[in-house]
Amino acid sequence: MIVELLQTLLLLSLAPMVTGAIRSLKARMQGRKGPSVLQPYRDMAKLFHKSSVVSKDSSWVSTVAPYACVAAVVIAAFLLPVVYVGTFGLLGDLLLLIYLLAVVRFFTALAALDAGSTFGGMGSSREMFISSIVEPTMLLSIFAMALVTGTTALGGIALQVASTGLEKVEPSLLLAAAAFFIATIAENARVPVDNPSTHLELTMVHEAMLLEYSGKGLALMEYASMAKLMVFLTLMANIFFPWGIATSADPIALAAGLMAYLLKIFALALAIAVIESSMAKMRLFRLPNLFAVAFTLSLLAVVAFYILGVA
Amino acid sequence: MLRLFRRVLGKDSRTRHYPKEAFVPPAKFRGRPEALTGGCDRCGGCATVCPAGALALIPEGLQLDLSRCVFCGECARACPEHIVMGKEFELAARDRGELKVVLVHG
Amino acid sequence: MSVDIEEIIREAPSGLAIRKERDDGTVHMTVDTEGFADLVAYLHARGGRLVSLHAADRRAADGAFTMHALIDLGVIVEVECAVRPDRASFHSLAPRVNAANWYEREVQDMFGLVPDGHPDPRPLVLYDDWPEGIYPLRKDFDPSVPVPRVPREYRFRRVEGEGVHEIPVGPVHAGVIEPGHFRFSAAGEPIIALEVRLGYVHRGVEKLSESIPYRKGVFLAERISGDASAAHSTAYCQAVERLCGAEVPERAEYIRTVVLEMERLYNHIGDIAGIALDTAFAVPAADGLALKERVLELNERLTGSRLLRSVNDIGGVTMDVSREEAMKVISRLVGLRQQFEKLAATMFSSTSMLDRVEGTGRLDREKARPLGCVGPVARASGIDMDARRDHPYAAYRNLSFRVPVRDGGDVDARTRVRVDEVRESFAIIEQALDGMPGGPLAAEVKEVPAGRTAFSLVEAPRGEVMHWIISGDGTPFRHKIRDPSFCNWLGMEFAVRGNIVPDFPLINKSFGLSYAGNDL
Repeated sequence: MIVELLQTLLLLSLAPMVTGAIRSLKARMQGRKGPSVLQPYRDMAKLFHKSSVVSKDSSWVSTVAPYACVAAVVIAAFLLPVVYVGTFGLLGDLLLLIYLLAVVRFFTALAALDAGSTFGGMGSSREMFISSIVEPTMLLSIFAMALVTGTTALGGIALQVASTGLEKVEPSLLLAAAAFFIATIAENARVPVDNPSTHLELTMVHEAMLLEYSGKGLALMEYASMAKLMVFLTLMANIFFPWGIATSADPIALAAGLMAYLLKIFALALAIAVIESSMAKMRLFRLPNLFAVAFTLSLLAVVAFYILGVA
Repeated sequence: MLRLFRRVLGKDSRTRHYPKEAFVPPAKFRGRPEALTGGCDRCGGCATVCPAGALALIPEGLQLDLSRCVFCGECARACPEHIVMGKEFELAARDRGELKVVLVHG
Repeated sequence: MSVDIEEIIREAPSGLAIRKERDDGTVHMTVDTEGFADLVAYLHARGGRLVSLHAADRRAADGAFTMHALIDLGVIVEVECAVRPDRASFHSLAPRVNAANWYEREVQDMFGLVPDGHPDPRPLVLYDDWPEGIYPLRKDFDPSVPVPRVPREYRFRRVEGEGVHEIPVGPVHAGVIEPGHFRFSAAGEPIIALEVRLGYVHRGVEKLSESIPYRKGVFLAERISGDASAAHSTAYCQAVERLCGAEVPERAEYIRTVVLEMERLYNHIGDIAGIALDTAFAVPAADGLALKERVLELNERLTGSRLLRSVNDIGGVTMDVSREEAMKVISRLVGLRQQFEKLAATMFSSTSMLDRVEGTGRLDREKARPLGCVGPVARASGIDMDARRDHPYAAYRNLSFRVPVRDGGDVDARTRVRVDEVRESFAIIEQALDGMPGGPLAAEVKEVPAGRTAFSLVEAPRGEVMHWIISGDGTPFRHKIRDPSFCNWLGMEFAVRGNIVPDFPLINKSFGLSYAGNDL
């Protein structure tokens, strides 16, 4: 119980640092020093003591949305194996996780429409358009893992794959991991799908939905995005490549699990930073091509499992 | 791709560590106008040529309003004995009154 | 352009035109109010490009307003007519000469002369709450008296239809950029129509100029459009120099040329980096902006000013470039040029970036020409024009360079034209620094005589700049400034059709227009 609680708190408190690390890596690739990895914490702290300005045309949705989003992400975090395969799995399994993430998207998009501004509407419509193809991809790729391991409990999947060694590296796993990685880029507003650091309101997808927020609300929404990214990265690290995770609660295994986790997260952050720095953002109507590739990969992952026989 | 990884390690970083690392302006840089010698004879020539209206004659001498100065260098051209364009550029103040300084006494 | 100007003028329709040659090689024709539109339309139909169309208030001296049209037929032809104050209107040229559209609206706002038959007589320059009947450029307007504000609404062009909605963008933008309002009519993401509404940074520069002595006017000119300081101040100085017949020494002409090309360098490199930035291609964008910074630092070494200010003076320049400095600059430029070539190679070999820029924001020649577009925008749409070659000034006569022209008309073409121009600029700067003649830095300038007219054309990074001055008593009597952006904004409205909303910032960046230069 304590270990599960501590590992979830670790995930939630490291989330801003991972975003900071990605920004720092991108800055270095651009040939400049960049802000410190702790800057997102400072930004949130600053936003917390600024006052909030809310449009008088908005309703309760705008007030509730930041809290709903953070709540959903926090609950999702409790479902994940971070350092140890044990989780608060009694709350729910991978299906609940996917739909908690969908709750975040739902409230963000709804609140963006609430204030009645054009950019909010544009951001919501683009977000929905992207997620219409990406969400099934996410579902299918995690299902592929559930098929391979025979359970939908996230801790169980991690335990199964981790304890059977490298024979579990099947085509299904690799295809599903590739599909899920593309979904991660899409769901977390990264280049080539969206530019998280743009000032051009007409090109924004995720940022456009946050334009109406200020003060505490903005801090919470930013945190929800950062934690959502962390959830995705943790899923990638511990569902698809869980080797190194602690399968028992003894201190040495936990220490090893912690090291493995941090290394995997850093490697994923580096991969994202490299991808973001090597290409331009794709044209909006070309995105379905990319997502179709991801969807096909996830479909193949499921099909491959059946064709290649049950393990 | 390799170039990106080299840069991650901090090579070729273009960030200057100002203000820890001081910025040295080049020779022709026109910073804050400064008095070369005292003894303004109050001819008003500099004030006439100033395109921004930053110079005025007050009882103490020649007053320069830094909030109006555009650092064009005309005053130094008009009166090379008393005015020179210095190199100071860190000129922020918290009060507009602080930006009015007596440039040349006389 | 080998046109037989004599033949064209001989065959002109209006019989009452009085013609005189000016000593700067331009042709000046005075015509009556009725024949003005016909004559200008005729010259345009014979291949002339409208350079400017503006008015002046000569009621005190001659009892009437005057309208002036400048047309480029290889030789500049200026057509003038009087407009009587009791009529206060003229036949609109806009239906026949599309480029006249905005000029006539500006004349209406500033002088109250109504263009009869103009298809779109809404206010252009003055804000929505400016009261009717008050015309700022008339001589009886006192700028020190506050104008009473009358709230009114600007009517935007509407597009009706199923699923069509309006997207208003600006003037307050999410980024720190100049203010301007864009009204899109879109059906989802595809843009059906765009209307550009500017005027938010109108500062009354032309009116201000009428009360500023010529020497100080140089500083005003530098600040019309901040990143075209050298171009605007050179154009202004050249116009004043023509008014008083001053001969600028050769060394000064060469220094002006170097400064003008340094301005072109940093602007174009910044614009090219901006294209990478707007497609979220972060690493080349950062490299490009770092390169621009190096050029700005070089500017500061050379002139003491990153934006090349305080260099021009009436009659020449205020500072010298020593042989040593020149050699240092040339060697620095070699390194910068290498970095630039690397940047261009990276950008144009990236398929993700090429996918964004090819085919986006196409402005065909058939649209660009009638609109009177200038600069890299025109050259990317197949129009071969460049004031440095067509109406040489400063030291350009003695230097060899090419004018790049492409016909894609899309963001890719405009970016490539800028890349080619950067290469030419590197070469021009080196030639000018190498071959700089000795001599004084400025000519003695006596007084500027009143009552004369002169103008000057300079190729700024964005295109052709025009300053046209009627000299008054120690200050300009009428100073008409025409920034290249004024000619190109309408091109944007056509270029975005058929594109999607997220591509608009990229198209806007590829045009790279100045809001302040447009608004004055």
